[in-house]
Amino acid sequence: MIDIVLLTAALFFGVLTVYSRDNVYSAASLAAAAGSVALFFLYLTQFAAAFLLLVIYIGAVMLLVIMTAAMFNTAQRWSGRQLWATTIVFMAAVAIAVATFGHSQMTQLSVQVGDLTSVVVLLFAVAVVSLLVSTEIAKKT
Amino acid sequence: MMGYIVGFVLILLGIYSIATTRDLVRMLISLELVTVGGFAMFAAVSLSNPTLALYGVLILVMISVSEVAVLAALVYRNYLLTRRVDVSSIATGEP
Repeated sequence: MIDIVLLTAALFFGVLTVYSRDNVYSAASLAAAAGSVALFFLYLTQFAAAFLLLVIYIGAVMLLVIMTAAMFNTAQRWSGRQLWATTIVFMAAVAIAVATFGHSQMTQLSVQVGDLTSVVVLLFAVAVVSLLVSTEIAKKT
Repeated sequence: MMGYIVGFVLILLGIYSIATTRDLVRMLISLELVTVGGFAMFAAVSLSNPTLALYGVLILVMISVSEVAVLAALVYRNYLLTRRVDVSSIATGEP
């Protein structure tokens, strides 16, 4: 129960990081997402990893990110098309993740060689994402 | 299992947000979103292999510290030279 709450909080703050307009709010929301993941490590009794995340990652990296975002005081200019595209990518990512990881209890690592369907789905997802990213980068220049 | 899903979604959103934005600071934030997604996937890995998850988190923290330091220095230097934090100001070098 607690793990679902913590992971849902991490997902919520991560999505809020992408969607928020001001960079300072975005960085603070990202720090909250990292804190949720660190509390999830703490719930799994991985104390060394939780210590690394809570003290070093949030204390050093997130401090630097929030300070950088606050120093320049810029904001993301969303257009409507970009908002819709991000929403579609988010929905597709959720669908791919549920199709790939949702069907079985994972006792081993994520991809098993004998299961050909999940390998094909994962490769197709990587190909689609790399095509999308390369198209967006090519539009930028 | 849900850790894999959350981590995968966060990594994909972070990569897509790096690709779409023109703001250097937002690029830095999206890069850290990818790292947080990696942490969530390592949390799911730690159910089956705790040692691998610990060393993965350690290496990922080291990587993210170094890349954040380099990117923040790059953003600050670019702002000092051109008074803008935009990708095109790096390409042209002029305000």
